[in-house]
Amino acid sequence: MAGKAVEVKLYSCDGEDFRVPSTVASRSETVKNMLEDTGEEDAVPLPNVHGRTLSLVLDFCKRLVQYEKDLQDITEDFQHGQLDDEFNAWKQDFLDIDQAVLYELIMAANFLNVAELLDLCCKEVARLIKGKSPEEIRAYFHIKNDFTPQEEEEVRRENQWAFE
Amino acid sequence: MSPSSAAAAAGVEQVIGPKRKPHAAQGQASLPLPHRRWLISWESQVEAVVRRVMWLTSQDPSTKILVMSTWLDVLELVGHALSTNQQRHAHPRGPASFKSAISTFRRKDVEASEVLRVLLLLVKQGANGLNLTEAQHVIIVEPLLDPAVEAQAVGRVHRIGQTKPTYVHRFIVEASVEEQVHRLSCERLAAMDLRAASSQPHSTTERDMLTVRDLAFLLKPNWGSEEAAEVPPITDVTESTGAFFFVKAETRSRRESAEGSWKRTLAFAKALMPTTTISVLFQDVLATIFTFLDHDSLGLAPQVCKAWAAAARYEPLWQARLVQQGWCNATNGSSPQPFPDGADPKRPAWSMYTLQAASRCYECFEPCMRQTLKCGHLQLCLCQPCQRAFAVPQPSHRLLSASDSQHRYRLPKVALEGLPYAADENPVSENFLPMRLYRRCDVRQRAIEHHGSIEAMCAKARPWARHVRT
Repeated sequence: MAGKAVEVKLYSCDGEDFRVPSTVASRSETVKNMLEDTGEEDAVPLPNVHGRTLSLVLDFCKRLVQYEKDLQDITEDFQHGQLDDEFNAWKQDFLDIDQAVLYELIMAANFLNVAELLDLCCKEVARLIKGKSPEEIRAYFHIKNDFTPQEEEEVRRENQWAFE
Repeated sequence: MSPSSAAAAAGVEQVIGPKRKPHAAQGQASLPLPHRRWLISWESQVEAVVRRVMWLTSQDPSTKILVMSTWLDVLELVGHALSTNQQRHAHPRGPASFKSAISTFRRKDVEASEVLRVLLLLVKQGANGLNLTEAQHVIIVEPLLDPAVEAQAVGRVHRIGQTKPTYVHRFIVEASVEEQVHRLSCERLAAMDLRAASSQPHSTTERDMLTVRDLAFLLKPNWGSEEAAEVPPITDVTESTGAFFFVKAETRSRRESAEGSWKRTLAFAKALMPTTTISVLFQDVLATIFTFLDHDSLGLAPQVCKAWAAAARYEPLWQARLVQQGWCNATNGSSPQPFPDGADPKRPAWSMYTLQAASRCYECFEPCMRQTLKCGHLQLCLCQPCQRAFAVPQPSHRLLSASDSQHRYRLPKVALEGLPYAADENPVSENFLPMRLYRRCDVRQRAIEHHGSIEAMCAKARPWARHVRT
């Protein structure tokens, strides 16, 4: 790969700079478009992403690139499952983070347009929501119930379809 | 020397305070209700301010003074104390009186006794653009949190056109929260200077924000003691420059009592602070999350709050669900299976989804026209294989048989009375009584009511029963 050696510079909103291979940075559609517009020599400013979050995003992108490279290299079919297991285990470790960090990560993935990361994080939040009643969800996610009793009754009726 | 300043000179040694104790003064109709925090310092802080005003006017009868505070109540109190001590002052409240007070304050061509020497201003009133170079003294009644605001306030007097030396008098009550405010203000001022000197980019919102550490610092008890200067014992508060920060660990402190008060302080600080919660997510992101939910949770999520209800109405969410379930072709949106009752394929995806779900087996979502027996309250479709499967209940089932519900949620038989159920052939034998199938969410709700709370239910129920569906 020709672009492999090229390093690009990313700036987070708190002024931290990250040097990553352009293959890794291009996992983000947003960064990829910017690189295409401005060329790979210029530093890419990312004013919506904090350095701490960006480092997590880049960790994920690195691992993803690694995983895809490994997929191409394998010769036997059984190795496929092994790589998947390894990647999934790594994802589990990766998601062992604070709720607040998770939401920041989702926002960053949404802004940077890293589809795989957004999917992963959204699935994680969905997992947290699943199997909880509305009151439990409110308590767990610190959400205020802003319905009036009438509205609550109405929305409950509207959503009865799920149980019929 | 004018009569007023003579009186002032006499009063320097003996400021006339309120005749009654401050808390008693609260009841008087003529007195403005003092701000709560001032009840204790009516004697000290206000007296100190009045004493200073009188001393200044006695030193130089021509001097003019600006008294600034953040709170209206404080100014009213100071104004009251000034009139008690025969000090002419103006305290403009509305825009009209503000204008006239400013012009009176600026006038020079009046008799000495008529000259307005003291002007009481709210910080926000006087902070911007006003030119009051006639005054030489600024009295800031209490320390301000934001050094920039203070600089603005002083800037009314200390500016181009000022020909005399100007003085700023700051009043800080010892052993009170004001010491902390002052210390914090000084730190912020230093930080601002440092920041201005460095070329590092920084966010503009940072200065306006108080972090948890700041608040904890402000609210820390034992004000005035040496320990107050130490870093507060919050352990893992990571602050960031943007609008986010994380509070991870619990407070640790040496003494038990201190720990309690610290937890309260920190809880209060956390409640005030904008932490990153799920509410920061955009509606379309929330809808993306919802696409990964199961059928039951999709019905429950909109009941959480208005934002979630709005996100659940997002059209692409339902299209994605239709595609996920294989009820719709991803490319052209047409349905691979015929819709029941000749439904219009152009209707919203949400109603297509609900229609499809209603015409399918309750458990496996396979097409099924087989209805359960009509003797129950619930009219459900349940395909033959799923109905057979109830002989061996599975954790994934959305329906629970009566005996299974009792077992899983540790409920007595009577607790299930009144719940809607569907009756179907008994899978074990046709000759047995029809089996009763309850919806898991109903049983769960009933179990919560029976056991008293969600926590109690979780403690008692068998592991996989704790959730609506695992």
